[in-house]
Amino acid sequence: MNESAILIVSTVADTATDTVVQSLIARRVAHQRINTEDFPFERALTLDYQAEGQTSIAIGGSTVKQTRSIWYRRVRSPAKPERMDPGIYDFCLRENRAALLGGLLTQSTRWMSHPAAVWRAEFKPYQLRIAQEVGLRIPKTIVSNDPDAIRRAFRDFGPLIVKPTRSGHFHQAGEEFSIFTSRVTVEHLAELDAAKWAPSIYQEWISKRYDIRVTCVGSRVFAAAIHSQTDPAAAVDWRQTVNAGLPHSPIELPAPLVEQLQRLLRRLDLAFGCLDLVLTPDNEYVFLEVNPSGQWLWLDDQLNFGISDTVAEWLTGGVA
Amino acid sequence: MTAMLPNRPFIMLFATPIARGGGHDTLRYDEERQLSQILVSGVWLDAAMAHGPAVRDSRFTRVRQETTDDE
Repeated sequence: MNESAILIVSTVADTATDTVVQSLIARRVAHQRINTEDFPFERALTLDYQAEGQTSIAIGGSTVKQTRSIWYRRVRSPAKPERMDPGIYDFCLRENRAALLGGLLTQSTRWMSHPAAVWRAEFKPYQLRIAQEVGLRIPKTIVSNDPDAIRRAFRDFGPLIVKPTRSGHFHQAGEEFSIFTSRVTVEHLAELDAAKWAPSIYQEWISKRYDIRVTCVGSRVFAAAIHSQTDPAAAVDWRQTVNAGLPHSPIELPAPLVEQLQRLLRRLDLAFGCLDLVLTPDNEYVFLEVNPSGQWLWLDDQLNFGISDTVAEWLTGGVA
Repeated sequence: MTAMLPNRPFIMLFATPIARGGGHDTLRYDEERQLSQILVSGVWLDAAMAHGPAVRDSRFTRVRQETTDDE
């Protein structure tokens, strides 16, 4: 492999990775993509600790000697091999994760973004604190599994929303579910004792003119208004609608807000981030969350932002 | 809103069923070009270049899966 190649850590299922790879091919930039679901059952991994203080990573017998940058995009587990005991499968996944991610952590290079930064930033209770510290307005918030505390928030905050602390994705009885940001009404309070089984994020409901999605690639900022209030299925959480024609438009954000968002990403040590905000009817900007590995392809489709090309450019060193 | 079961967290009241697997069974990987391909009307197309309403919809709803690690 070329000594100054770009290493991409992703999955076969991430189309955003494909668009960036295509951009790198068009630029004739050397790159190596690893699909994490190949490990450990389909592909071999060897970490070799050398005397000169470097750790080499060999994948399928080919050594990744040095990288100009690493894009830490996605980690996806492989399917369980037929006839493998589920407990043994779990063991293999844990050991594989420790080897693969541990090996990546040994690499000193330019990261989008460093795994430790990504893992930390994915803790929503933490990112809310940092957002406040850089001067962004956040909704009144509690993170709790205490039914009494949640009842108090319902009384004190006014209308409430609830959203998952980590991810709303889960399986039950062979079915797959998502939990989107949802309004909590007085009728739901009768069920609130069940809040004790898992902490969630409870926030004041913020009235919206529209939602805002800001995609930051290094110093480049792409801001889109998502006109969520035009579709009842998108009004509380625009991710909930299946209407791919939901209106979007490019917007300019005030310079002080852009500076706050970039300061937030610097504090979180993220080279990339997808930030969700709301513009209120009083024209106030409210920060909701940042996704360190968020999606953007539909924005390139609808608004021709060129985010995929900008990610490729950043990985080659062309964007600060 | 889904019915409440014993020992089920409050937030799961708001769970919505979604399509299983995200269509991953129609994916394959071109090792040499390092690109994924999807099956569209019986033809394998580069995932990044595939167009049409179904692809457009999936690019939008993919935003539901934003965590880096599926652990």
